[in-house]
Amino acid sequence: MPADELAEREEHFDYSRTLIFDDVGHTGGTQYMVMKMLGIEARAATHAFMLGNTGIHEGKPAVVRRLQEHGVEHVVFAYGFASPHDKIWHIEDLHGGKQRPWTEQVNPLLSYQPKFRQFVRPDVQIHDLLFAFEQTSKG
Amino acid sequence: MQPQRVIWVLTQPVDLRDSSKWDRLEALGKELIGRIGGDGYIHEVVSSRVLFPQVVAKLKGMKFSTIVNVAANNFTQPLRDTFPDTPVAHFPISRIRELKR
Repeated sequence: MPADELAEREEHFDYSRTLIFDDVGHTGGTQYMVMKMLGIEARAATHAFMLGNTGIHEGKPAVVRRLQEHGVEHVVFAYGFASPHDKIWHIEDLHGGKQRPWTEQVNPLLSYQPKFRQFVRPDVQIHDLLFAFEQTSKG
Repeated sequence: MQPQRVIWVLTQPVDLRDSSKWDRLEALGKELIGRIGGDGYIHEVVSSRVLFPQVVAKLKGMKFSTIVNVAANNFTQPLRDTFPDTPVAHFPISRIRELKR
């Protein structure tokens, strides 16, 4: 059963000093959910992103300050951006199958879709990841 | 709200080690700068080929018991290469949710 599988994994890994890695940290919802689901204490976690949001999301601190407020000591990122001043687009926005809040802005990009498709492996379930991310962010 | 800066992020699902694909992908990204929407709507392009080594450099010297990669799987092997003595688990958030059901 899936729950058993996760329990087994939880036993297998030592989460006493964990690095949680994500490509983009936006709201902090995903990172908070991962810590909660895997039973990782905030003070034992280091979070690393390639891009980290230092701004505000829906009136609340975005990922960098949110994690720090939760007690995470190390939040490491290579490139900072600050919503709502900055907006991030992913390569997935070219796929066209995912309706995002800024769809109208993305539509002109769809003309580039054939060019970008050559880089995307067919087995990658990008939309599932994005959907889960957005659902988590709302929580 | 109209953003003042739009950043195009080139991350998954391209293998970080595949230089030829990155060359073409980044060239396409640069082609998009200033061209969308007629008003320079994409202002900046950043890619994981450049950013991944930068974030790894900032992690140098830190010791971890486990690494949990919640991003795409193409970052798992580069993380294992970078931290050869540390277990790296690929747990995308969708998979964690699925397992918790």
